Amino acid sequence: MNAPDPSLDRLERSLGRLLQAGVFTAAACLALGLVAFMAIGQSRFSTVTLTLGLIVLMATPIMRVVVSLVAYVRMRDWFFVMTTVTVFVLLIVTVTLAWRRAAGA
Amino acid sequence: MSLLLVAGVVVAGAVAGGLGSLLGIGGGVFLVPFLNVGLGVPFEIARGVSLMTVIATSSAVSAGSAGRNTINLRLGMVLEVASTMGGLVAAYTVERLSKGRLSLIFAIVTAVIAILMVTRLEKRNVLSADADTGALGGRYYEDESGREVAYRVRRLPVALLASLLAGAVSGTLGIGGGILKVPVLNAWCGVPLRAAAATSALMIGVTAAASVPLFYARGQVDPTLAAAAVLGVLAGSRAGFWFGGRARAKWLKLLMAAVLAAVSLLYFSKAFA
Repeated sequence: MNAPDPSLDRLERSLGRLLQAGVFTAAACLALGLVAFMAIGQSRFSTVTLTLGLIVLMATPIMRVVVSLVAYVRMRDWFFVMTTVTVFVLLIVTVTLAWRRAAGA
Repeated sequence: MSLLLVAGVVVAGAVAGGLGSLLGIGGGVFLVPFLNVGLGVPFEIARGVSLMTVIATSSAVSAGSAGRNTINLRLGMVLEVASTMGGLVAAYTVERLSKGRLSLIFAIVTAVIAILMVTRLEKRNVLSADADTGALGGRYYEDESGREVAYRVRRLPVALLASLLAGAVSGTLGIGGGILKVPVLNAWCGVPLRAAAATSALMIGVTAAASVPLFYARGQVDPTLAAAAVLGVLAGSRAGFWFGGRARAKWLKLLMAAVLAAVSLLYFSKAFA
């Protein structure tokens, strides 16, 4: 545990790229949708791009957990596999409750 | 919805994001009252919109600091068990809180944050690079000393409790909650301030992701306002980061603590109105 951990370092960098891509994609969609909304008012295009942007934004941290999980499985670091699975399950509970709420409304 | 409101939200987001990055905290604690009191947006919409900006800030800040080893991925994941649980429970139960109770909680939390902002202490907590860091500790290159430093995490239950509380506050009020757990990690749990801040910045995104989908499904995240706020915050925090390098922000810290104290009083009066 005391040697610098190259696999953890690599994970940190790939998570950084994932978060960068997520926030960039979300911001681009939100900017497009917002400009469309300001220019021509509510339209199918603005609704779709804004929704997409918000979903990408919310999904980015969840993807971060998924990528971490895969990395800890590869490292055979079972304590952190369990920890990451727990966080993932909690996120899935939220998304499921939200989905049911949206479908029921 | 008027274009003026959308423009107002962009500006509010930019100011909140700029102040947040200048002060080294997220901008949520400023954004929620800007939207709620300043622009008359209902509290539950302000909360949903603000949580979206919390995710954006978390992703952007963490992407920027990745590769410096200041983010403690392992400690972060362990604490995220507690913080996501807090966020989920808060989002699920917050509808049962009355408006007055919610205002009271916001008033108390802003008062606590105002105090934390001016009294922030910094413990170095670093060990020499060859020290045993344990399973959750970390090591990183420290620019100031030009050396690699190591640290060991102590009192994990305290850190878990602080994360649970910060997660619950985040889901209840729509702020990131980093300022509530960073001082605990630094003062009691052996984590150097830089590592605590970087780890917390990573954590607040997934914490918000545990609550905001529920608000989204309830129609409490107005897509247009959320887009305006997210873009404003991203631009503002980038600008703040750029200015932050040149200005020592001590007077700003005092000023904003005073603003938060005023916000706190305002919400206290709302709570008892």
